[in-house]
Amino acid sequence: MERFLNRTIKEIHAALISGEVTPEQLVAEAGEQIARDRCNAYEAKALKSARRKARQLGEIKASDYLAGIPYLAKDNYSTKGVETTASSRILEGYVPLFDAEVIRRLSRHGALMVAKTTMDELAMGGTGTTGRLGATHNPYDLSRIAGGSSCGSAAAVAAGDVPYALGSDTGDSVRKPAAYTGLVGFKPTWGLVSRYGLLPFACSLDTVGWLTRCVWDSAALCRALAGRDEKDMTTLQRPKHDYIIDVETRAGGRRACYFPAVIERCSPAVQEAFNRVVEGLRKQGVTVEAYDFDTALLDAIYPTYMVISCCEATSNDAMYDGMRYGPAGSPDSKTYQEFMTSARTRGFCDLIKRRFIIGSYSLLAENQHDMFQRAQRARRVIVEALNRMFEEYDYLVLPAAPTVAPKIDELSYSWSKEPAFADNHLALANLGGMPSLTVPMGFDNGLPLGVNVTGKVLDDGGVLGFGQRIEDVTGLVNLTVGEVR
Amino acid sequence: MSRVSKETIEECARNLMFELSPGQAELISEEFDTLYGQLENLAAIPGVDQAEPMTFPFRRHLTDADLRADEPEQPLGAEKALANSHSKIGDQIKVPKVVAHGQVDHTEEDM
Repeated sequence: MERFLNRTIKEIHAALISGEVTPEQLVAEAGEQIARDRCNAYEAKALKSARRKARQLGEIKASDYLAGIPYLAKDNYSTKGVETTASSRILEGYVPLFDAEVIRRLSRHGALMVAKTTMDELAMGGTGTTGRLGATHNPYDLSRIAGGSSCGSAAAVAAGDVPYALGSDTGDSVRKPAAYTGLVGFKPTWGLVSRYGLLPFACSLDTVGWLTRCVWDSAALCRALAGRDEKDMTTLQRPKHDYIIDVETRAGGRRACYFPAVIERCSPAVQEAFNRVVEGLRKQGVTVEAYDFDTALLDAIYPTYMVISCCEATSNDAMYDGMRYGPAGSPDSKTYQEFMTSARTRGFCDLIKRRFIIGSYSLLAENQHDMFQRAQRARRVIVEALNRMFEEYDYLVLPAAPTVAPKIDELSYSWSKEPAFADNHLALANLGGMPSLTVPMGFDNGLPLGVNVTGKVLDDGGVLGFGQRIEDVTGLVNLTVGEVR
Repeated sequence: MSRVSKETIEECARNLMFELSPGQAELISEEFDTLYGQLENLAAIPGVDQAEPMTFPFRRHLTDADLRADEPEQPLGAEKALANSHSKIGDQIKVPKVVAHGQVDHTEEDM
């Protein structure tokens, strides 16, 4: 049977318009792909409702790029009538009564959600191994991680199951998995896209994001999802904007820089691929120069991000009590405190508990100054330094990860003793709320490598346009495991 | 000696209402030693302790337009509100007793 879901959104849309395929056939293909999953990429399935919506779709207009096309949502998006666990036992059995705003907007565009995807528990992690269903594997090499926390979304799109998936990005959770799986991963400006219905991890950092197989598709999603939402007062008032035009015209500036200190800490294969991208950009007339960003500030990214995110998560996740859903507390509990302790003990994995304790301790009145507030102060110093850099340059371009995806059996789950900024610099865009995009840049022994571009706040169109320039240089479009092999 | 004791960590866990697996308190204690070292490095960065804490990624000036109109909505019906609960009594979610043992005891029938 001819396959369609391993194509780009643009190509599938053309096939729908020409009548080559129907939405119902696409949902059936998605169901077959999901059944063949080898990566442990899936939480709940929603094929039945997707089939029903596919049948009900009217004529697909030429401008409805997402209509009739199946997609996946990370399991931290509230989905009406579909269990939503954020891959945590504490949320088992939680069936939302409403859709997250991004799910609602995609529905309005005729998009068909076919399943939810696995993730690091409550989005707290970068390995894709801490969810309640166990490790999610990289389709390019099942012994390796797909990255996290949007692991299932990345693995499934790279496997060619669907053309795109929603993720969420608090520190790099869309953009790092994109690098490890040969995808395009976009984190828009903080506030550009509504987070209503996204289970919160760290509100001052959380951003809706998505994984696609080309930059154009990412722009099509940005066009559909960006915009003020009255239910999320952190969304920004912005005029409607067509990001597809930005990509097609290669919009945005032409001055980019990189941090030599990061490049030096990357593997030889990553350095080589990055240098090829830089040379290609220069041939296109783009200026790419070294920028000497203070390494003390690069070292500060990891503790600053970790302390702030742990503190915010501790507060956000205090609401889970096991009363209405999740693992019910012990029937022997004599008080609600005992019941809740019993439920939370079984509901969270050890890593999550460790992060909550660090967050809680950092928030104690006697520690706040030296811990939480110090991290918040460091955040300002880092972001101000970054904004000074953006006065000279339009974009920061760096390898998205210093190596290929690590092997699952070589992971460490402890607080990193070394700040390892080559592995953590993507969090800069979360600290400053900037748009940031990862694009494939090559392979190392058959494993994907990604390059990241970060721009100024609200220059989302420029970042996407610059990403298209990189795609022009590499020619790496619509990578799926089947195609690469 | 660790900067944060095992006892302090266990107290935090009690406040957070969960129990730790064996060996976790020791591991967290080690992580705190690493974290404290990193926070001291932060303090050594010029200007950090004088900077204003940053609570959002960038400054926004909220206006009346950022606030939505206060419009009445139809509340959830009891059936939907109870859909996710483990157990219920009538149209209420059944929860454990909320007063500690030995204090005034309201039985379920009193609810």
